[in-house]
Amino acid sequence: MMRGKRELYFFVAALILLQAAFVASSSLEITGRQSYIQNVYSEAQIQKYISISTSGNLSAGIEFGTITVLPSTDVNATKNYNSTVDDSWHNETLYWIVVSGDSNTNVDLCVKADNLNTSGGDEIPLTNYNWSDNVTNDEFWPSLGDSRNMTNTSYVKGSADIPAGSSNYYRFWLSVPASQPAGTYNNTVYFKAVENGTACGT
Amino acid sequence: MMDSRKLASIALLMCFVLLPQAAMASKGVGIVWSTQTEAVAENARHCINYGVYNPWDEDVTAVLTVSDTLRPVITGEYSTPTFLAAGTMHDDAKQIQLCFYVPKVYTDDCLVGNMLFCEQTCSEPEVRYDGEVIVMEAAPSGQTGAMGSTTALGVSAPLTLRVTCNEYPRDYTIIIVGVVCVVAVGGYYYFRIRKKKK
Repeated sequence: MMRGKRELYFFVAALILLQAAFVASSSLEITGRQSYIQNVYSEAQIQKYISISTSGNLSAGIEFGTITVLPSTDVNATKNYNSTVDDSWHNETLYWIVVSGDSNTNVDLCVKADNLNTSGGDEIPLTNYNWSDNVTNDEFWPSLGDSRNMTNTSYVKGSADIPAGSSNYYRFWLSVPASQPAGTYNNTVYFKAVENGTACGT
Repeated sequence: MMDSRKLASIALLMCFVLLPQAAMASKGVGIVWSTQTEAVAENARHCINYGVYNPWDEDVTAVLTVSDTLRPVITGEYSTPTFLAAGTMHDDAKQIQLCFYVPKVYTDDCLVGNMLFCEQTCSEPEVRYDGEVIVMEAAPSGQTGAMGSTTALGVSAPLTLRVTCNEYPRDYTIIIVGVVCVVAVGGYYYFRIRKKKK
């Protein structure tokens, strides 16, 4: 009987030890005085929105027509200097992007392109395809002198910090070497608006 | 007094002046965002809402997509084309939910294998996914038959996902439980053997 009791005591002790082990392994926090804290939350949400649109002529595509003289250097896109809608316009470009009035963030505008090639695989290097942009639109701006090559690796930033309701204007030029195979060369040019000060991305 | 012929010719001239501008009806896309940096947990799904809108005067179909840097953690059908009626202002933007699943990125320090007696000290540099959420026109505009380029339009919102690290100490509970069990079983047999001997 005495030995049975000893075994019982032993198991009770083992159980207590087990319980103590669990308590020790858990992160028990012991606090001092009880205190009451009233939490008051405050919240503010900032929302940003951007919208852009292309001019009808840019939306219709950038065309260079049929090039019959080779080599040709800096062939103008067909709407580069074609603004004759109104007497007050003199050789302005008809390619532009407008930042909507329903935007609350200034934007930077970025450009990139696919390879310019034929369905058969002949290709005009993008180093021959130049673009220029400016917030001014007249016979001088955007200018060939400020132009840069199209790239297909990542977007290249053009005009920056354009506010809602404003426009950015574009011109495009294509150079074709004498050895260029005949064909219809096509690609897609991508225009992207990013929040002012942020990278254009890929 | 102008005669009717003059009026008719002025009206005709006005038509020639205004028609080309009317033909240049604009179309575009827009994005609304309420967050640029989000803290996300490892091994967890995290969703963010974006609005897409079209305040312009032509209907468009837009696609919400993400930059290459965010592709590894995006889940689900995020690039389903969405029709946006002309004149949809940002207040009425269509909501699209983007969900991300970030895998386990911080390695635990374990004494046995990859599972036993582990601790997380969060000593590794913070893992971040920097990228952008982009709304694009579903199809490029312009004709493809002519020499030149079609054009595609997009707007983007920056997004950074910061993966949070949860620090925790090494857990010795299994060792303690094991020792207690061994002592209990050993004690039990010890008492039984002593009992038999007597």
